[in-house]
Amino acid sequence: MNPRERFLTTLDHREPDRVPLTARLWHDTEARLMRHFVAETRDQLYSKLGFETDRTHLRVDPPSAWNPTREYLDFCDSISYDPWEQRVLYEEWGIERKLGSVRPGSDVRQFYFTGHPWEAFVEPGEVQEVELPDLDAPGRFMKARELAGRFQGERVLVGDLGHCQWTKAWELRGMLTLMKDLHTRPAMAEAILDRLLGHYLDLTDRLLDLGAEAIRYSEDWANNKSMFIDPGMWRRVFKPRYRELFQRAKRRGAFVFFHSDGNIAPIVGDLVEIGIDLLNPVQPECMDRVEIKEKFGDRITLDTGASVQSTLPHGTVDDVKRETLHALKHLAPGGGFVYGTSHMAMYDVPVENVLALYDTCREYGGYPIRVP
Amino acid sequence: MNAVIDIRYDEIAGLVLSALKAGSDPLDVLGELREGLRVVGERYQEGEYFLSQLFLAAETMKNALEVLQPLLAATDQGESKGTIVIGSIEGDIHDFGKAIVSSLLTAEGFHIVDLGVDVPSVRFVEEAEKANADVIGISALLSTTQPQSRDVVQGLERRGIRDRFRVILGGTGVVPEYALAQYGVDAAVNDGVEAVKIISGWLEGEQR
Repeated sequence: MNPRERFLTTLDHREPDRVPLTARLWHDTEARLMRHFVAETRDQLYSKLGFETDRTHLRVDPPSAWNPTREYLDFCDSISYDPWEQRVLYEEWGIERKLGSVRPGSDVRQFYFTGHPWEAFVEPGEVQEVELPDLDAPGRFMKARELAGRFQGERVLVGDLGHCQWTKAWELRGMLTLMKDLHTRPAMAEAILDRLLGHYLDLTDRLLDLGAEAIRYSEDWANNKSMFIDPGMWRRVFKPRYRELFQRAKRRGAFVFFHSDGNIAPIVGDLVEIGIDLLNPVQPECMDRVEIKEKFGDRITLDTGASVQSTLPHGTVDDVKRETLHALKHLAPGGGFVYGTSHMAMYDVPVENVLALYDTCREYGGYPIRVP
Repeated sequence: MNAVIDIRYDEIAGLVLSALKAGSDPLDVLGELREGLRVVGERYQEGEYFLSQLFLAAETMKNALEVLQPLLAATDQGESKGTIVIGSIEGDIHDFGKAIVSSLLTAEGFHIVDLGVDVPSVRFVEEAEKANADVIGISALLSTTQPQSRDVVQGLERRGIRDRFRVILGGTGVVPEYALAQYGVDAAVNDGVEAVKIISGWLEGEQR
């Protein structure tokens, strides 16, 4: 079974030959592991950890006419992200950012937001007048087309919308301002979300035209304990717009992959109802994964992993093994399950804990699952 | 009270003015509003209210305080209940949790010195000393940045001023037992309302 078949089998809620694996590794952690294994590429590293990449993400790029400045290239180098990808996510929208400090133990810096271009809007009409990134600009999908051609039939092609409603809206408006809008000026919030909806429906079509077999939506809706807004408000304001986005993908046979950090337990049922096929990361410190599996495991795939907030950074090798075995035993049977690190394994995660995670999966992750 | 619980953000100033015109004592109005905010905090901790409601209730309270403050200035309630220097520690750029806790503390009548995000540990020490603060609030979402709260504590110790400040670490990813054992802070929380309760307890006479 190749990685694509393995992933598609689990998405279909059948048991593949073994549990499909992924890894989300912070740049420093990945570099340490590459040194440990003397691996030169990410694919080589994954192979040493015992799996192969099963998905390729197709994203929109800046127009080919765009020329990054040296300063911008340095900025992106410092945060260790691809400048072309970053440009589309932030600067093309006018979102302003600044470089964070160097942290002890890491060569990679973080960024923070310093300016939200739609924050000063007073009237909903202003949202209509603003110019959005032009998806018709030459070169927008050159790389996506090339990737789709290269990996078609070998990996699952995932059209990546990224932040498309809540997260993009607060990046443009400021989170606290958007919260005020939702409570006191709902027409402004809805104008912003509708403007984004139109843009991302258009992008969905274009990614599907390129051969995307799934569309991924990345929105952080909660902290560890609870959601940022009342689930009732979420259902009133956001659910209909997500339904429209998901339906656009599903009508053409694509899967819907949804990402949200934190405890989104109150809305998982709603997300299932409006058509998600895969939920990520279902963090173990935030939600009861066994309960989610019992309730919705026949309809969605849990793309989850070991705790990056407690077990992987603070636990022992035995703790990691115990948590992994528990997940395999309770979440893997019947398929609909992908495992790895639940989120970014930051640079405080010891190499031996990462190895314990993947060694345990290699030893016990074959179907049928036989965990003691 | 209900105006805060129901988050009547745009109307609260008018409601407070009406109550004052009708003869209500500003101190009674303040008491009612604080009770409203306490109920909102309770509802948040019980899972009935969510973060945006917590934030908007604190902002509603702040709108009310703008009207009340000049009248309270003549009473001891007009004075700040204490000063808190707050910031997200160096390397941590997460602003949201800190912003909500700051709003709640301001609404409770504390004076806030907000240092922003990505704040070096030494600055927490310097600014706390400069502001003659009572509490240092360190926000850190990430497991990789939380250990730097220890640097703040050690910085205070090196200057021989550890006893002058209470230090609290907060962030949604904080594991309180682990942080308390490892970093030498006086409190560690993963819930903003809990942070406000602890700080209020400290500054309203509870023993350290």
